[in-house]
Amino acid sequence: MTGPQLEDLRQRELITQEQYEHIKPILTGKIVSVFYELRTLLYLGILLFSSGAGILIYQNIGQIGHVLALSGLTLLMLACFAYVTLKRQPYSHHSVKPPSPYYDYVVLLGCLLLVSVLGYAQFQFNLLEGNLEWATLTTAVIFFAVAYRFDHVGILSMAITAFVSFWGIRLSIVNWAAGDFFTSRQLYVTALVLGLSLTAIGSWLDTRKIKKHFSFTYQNFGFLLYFAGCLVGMAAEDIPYGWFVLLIYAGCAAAYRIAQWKKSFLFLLYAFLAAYIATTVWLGDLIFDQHEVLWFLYSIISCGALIFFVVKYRHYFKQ
Amino acid sequence: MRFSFAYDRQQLANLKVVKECRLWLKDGWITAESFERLQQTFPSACYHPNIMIRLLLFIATLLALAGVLGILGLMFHSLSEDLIFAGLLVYGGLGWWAAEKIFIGRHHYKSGVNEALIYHGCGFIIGGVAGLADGNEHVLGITATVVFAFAAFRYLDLLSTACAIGSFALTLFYELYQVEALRTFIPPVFIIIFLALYGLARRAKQQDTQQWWHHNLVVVEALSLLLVYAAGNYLVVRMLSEELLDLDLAPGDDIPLAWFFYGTTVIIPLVYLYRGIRNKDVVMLRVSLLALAFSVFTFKYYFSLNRPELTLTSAGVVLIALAMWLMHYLKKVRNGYTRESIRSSRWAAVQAEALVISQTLGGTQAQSGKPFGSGTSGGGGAGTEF
Repeated sequence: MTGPQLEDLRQRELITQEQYEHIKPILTGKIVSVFYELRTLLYLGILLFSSGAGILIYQNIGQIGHVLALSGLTLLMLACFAYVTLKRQPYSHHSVKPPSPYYDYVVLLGCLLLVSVLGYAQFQFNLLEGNLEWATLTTAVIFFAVAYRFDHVGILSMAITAFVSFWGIRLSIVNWAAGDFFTSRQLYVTALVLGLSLTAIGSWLDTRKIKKHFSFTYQNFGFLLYFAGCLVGMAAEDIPYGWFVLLIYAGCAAAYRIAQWKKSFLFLLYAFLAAYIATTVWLGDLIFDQHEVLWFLYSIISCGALIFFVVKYRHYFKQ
Repeated sequence: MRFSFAYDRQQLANLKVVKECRLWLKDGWITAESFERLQQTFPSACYHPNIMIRLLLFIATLLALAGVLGILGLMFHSLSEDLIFAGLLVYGGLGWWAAEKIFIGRHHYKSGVNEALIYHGCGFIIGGVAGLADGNEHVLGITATVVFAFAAFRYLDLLSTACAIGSFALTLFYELYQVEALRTFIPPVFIIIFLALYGLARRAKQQDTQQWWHHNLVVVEALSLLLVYAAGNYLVVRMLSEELLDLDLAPGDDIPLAWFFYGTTVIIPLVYLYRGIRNKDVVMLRVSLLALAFSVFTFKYYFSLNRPELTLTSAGVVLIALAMWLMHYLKKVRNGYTRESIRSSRWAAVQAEALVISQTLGGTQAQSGKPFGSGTSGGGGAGTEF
């Protein structure tokens, strides 16, 4: 929008004088926010510093001594948590504005250091021998607590990731892309159950109006796990895959409901991709394997129908 | 009517007003009632779904087109090569025609279907022409530039804009490279031409009072500035000289005019930074930060102390300190700069940030064998290609 257009809106009394005066300097670039630039700088700084310091300590470990290094890390972590605890705002079910711009980053740094400390303890002293999964679970619990207490979505993602990995699933987009989503195939049942639970918990908390801005994270992880679990289950061929096709369709129905309710259409995209893959595999086995022409017709008709449907019933998909 | 973009002006203008106002509503600058009235005052028939639906439609359209292509392939695969290339050309053109008549005619504006048809069309038209010209590189380069520029202009498409600039730069480089005598002048020619292009984009932005092409021109500006910087960057010039001009540098030797490129590597980002801050030009400011980071990387690359961990740590400290100081300094608005997010409630941005953080920093849990799980070094690994 341009300055004259804004002026026009004011003259037609579509916006008040007050609103006009608030918007005008921002629209014309009189006031410029460097919010994201500064946050990027800070984030890069923390990334560089934590990697560099990590290598530095690791290399000079002979001189510093492991105990000293570990205590240093622990102290730094405690300092982070002390800072955020001192500066904390009262807990609220809603989103809480951080008291200072770097508050969120201190929370993050503290949690990252916790991971480092635990990893270090395990690596150097084998402190957690045989209890690694319990350490992961503890981390998850602490992260959940931190995420809720200090209102940090990033930590919530980390908490869910840790929690899921306690069950043996390494959940990360990087692993997923590398096709290394589940370390073992039998895990798809676990993934299904976890996916369902996460989505359900997220939705339930949302209806209870507890940290509504966290719901997306729960549901996102939940749907990803659920659909990925179904697809892996299809490929595993322990059970007739028709069951998984049905499960995917059920998941699609849920995704459609939640997408409508939360206006979050990412889930719909997951659902479409999963359902499309499942249906295609199924139909392929059933009919198409004889004629390649059928494949082409199928892709034209199925996708054409989908486009038609989405465009025709556009008001269902409005944000 | 003058040849212009493909969309209905009034409908699009209304859509843009409502889109902007929706952001105001989200940021709490206007009330829901105001927004309601604005929406009624500026009705738009444009079909412009949200990003996820767009992606879905985009993928679906590509899949459907793959089916169409498969059937056409089965029907025509026995034709002669030239006929097939001509067919590709026609097919690409038909794609554009379908985008215009069927979808834009029904007020699709960046709906996902449009983009799929347009990119598909670009690919086949360029491929068809290149095939007919026997893969002649001059024809390929020029066709790609023209076709992408046309798509960018006609459909206001940002990716096409970037592709047009990219193909233009590649073509220019290739043509200069063909002439032995001109090879050494590639960097200055690039600097001059892309500075000129930057100037043109700025002029065009001012003349485009309705801001139809605003975002396209921002892309042109940013890419031109980056290319000017790349052409003056010592690392880029040296790498390309060694690769393409068969320059064999003995230890201690340096490329011709090395002092010039050392100078430009330092000066260009600083000029960008100064002008960016001075004129409150966010595009230039962001480009300058990227360029600065890459300049630091350039010097570290050639004058390394071989202590990357020290570099990482100290760079981290400097960045943290700088960011914290700036955040403190900009507590109140100074010279029009503020640390506060004036577009605060961009929910999507918060989610994306959380995702990036958890994926790069916290992706690994306490796993044995990896003492420092979060050891991804995010150095200035920018591309060196033009």
